[in-house]
Amino acid sequence: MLAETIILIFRALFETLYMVIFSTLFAIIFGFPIGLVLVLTQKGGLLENLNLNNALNSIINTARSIPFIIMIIILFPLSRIIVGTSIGSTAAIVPLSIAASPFVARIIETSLNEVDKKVIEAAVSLGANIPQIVFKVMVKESLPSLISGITLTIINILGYSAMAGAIGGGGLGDLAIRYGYQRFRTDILIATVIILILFVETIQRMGSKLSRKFDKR
Amino acid sequence: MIMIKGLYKSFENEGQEVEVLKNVNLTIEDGDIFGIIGPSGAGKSTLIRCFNLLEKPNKGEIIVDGVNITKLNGKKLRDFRKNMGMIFQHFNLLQNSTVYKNIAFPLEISGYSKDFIEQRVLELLDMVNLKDKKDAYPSMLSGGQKQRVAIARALALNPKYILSDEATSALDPLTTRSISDLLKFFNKKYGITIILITHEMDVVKEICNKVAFINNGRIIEWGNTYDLLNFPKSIEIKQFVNENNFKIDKEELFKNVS
Repeated sequence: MLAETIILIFRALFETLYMVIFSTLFAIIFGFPIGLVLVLTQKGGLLENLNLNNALNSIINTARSIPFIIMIIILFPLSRIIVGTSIGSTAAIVPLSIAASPFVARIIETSLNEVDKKVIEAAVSLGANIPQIVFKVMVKESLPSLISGITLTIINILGYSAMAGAIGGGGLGDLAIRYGYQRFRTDILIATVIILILFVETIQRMGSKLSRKFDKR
Repeated sequence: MIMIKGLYKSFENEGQEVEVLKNVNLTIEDGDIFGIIGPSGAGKSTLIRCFNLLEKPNKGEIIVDGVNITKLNGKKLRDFRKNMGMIFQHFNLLQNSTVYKNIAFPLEISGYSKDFIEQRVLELLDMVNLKDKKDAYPSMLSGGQKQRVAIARALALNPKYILSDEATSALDPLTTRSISDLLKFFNKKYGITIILITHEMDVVKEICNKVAFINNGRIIEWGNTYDLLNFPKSIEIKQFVNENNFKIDKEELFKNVS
């Protein structure tokens, strides 16, 4: 009985980690370029283009105003097309990544905007091109803030993943609802909550430490 | 040689066109230390930022060694900028990079080999007397040291010109002196032409062989420093020279009181 419970919990934990890691990865892959384009095309940006900037802003705001649970329901058919099924942790990665991308875009936008405009200007005066300014100046200068933002994203996706779990994605959220709530297994409910607390605590501590390490200001 | 002909620049501010530069004409010879001085809001900063096209003029020509640079863009503009280093009032160093990495930056973006970069950076660190600060971060340096890093960075690609945008304005008088001496040294030793803007008359007196006085976006008068400061033709310059002397006296007065 106890062994079974432990296996259940470990499986759920593994599913959660799997969902969170890959969703974060894809959310950054989609969100970073969007955030970068937002910064470059804004007023006074290196590639100022207000039409594109306004359009992107509207899309992001629309996407962010849809409640996540609705977003998953809308996007589950897309999972069927991409990964062949709409049930399970792999299927949940699709809506999780897409739902988190606009959030990541905003986080990246905020971080990159923290970089002193004058430092960027100095790089321009030294003859740097845009990719050089982006990677050697903007990303490098905002690294501590980017790390904090990614930490925030991971913790957010963890929360989202519990919701995705509840409607067929597996993981700790799913376990807590199916066993802890529906079958009155309070022990499992408590265990999942403790694991989630430890998970968030660890990620936050690691993120803060890493962010401080790269902050030389 | 830099020739500026009929330069105009205006900004739009709440739907209104504000003319910041009005028909500026100047000639800067190779080897000059050319000071541009004037009260705040006169258009000095805008003018110096036109020299490397950080600001694009609305009208007029800037001819640098025979090329009208206002027509440049893309790679040609970036290559041109590599021949014109710039230093700033607030240094504008990469905060998350070491002194070494800051000076290496222009060399890295120009695709030099690691060995060459190391040799050049060490040479520059030696010139600005900061060898022991190689691995320090800018936040650990004093204002004068930061400006020396910025000077080394601006010189890394061996530019023919240096633009100095109020480079000593955030520094105390003693440090100001050491930074202007350093600029003068690079001018004498390597023949680098320096264009500097400042509101400090002392800097002009100390190192500039030529000076232009700008007010309300117009060059009031320009020429040899000695002649311009001692025998100014316009009332505005006379006033500015006097005002500055008065300011110095007043500060000294307060020093005695406290």
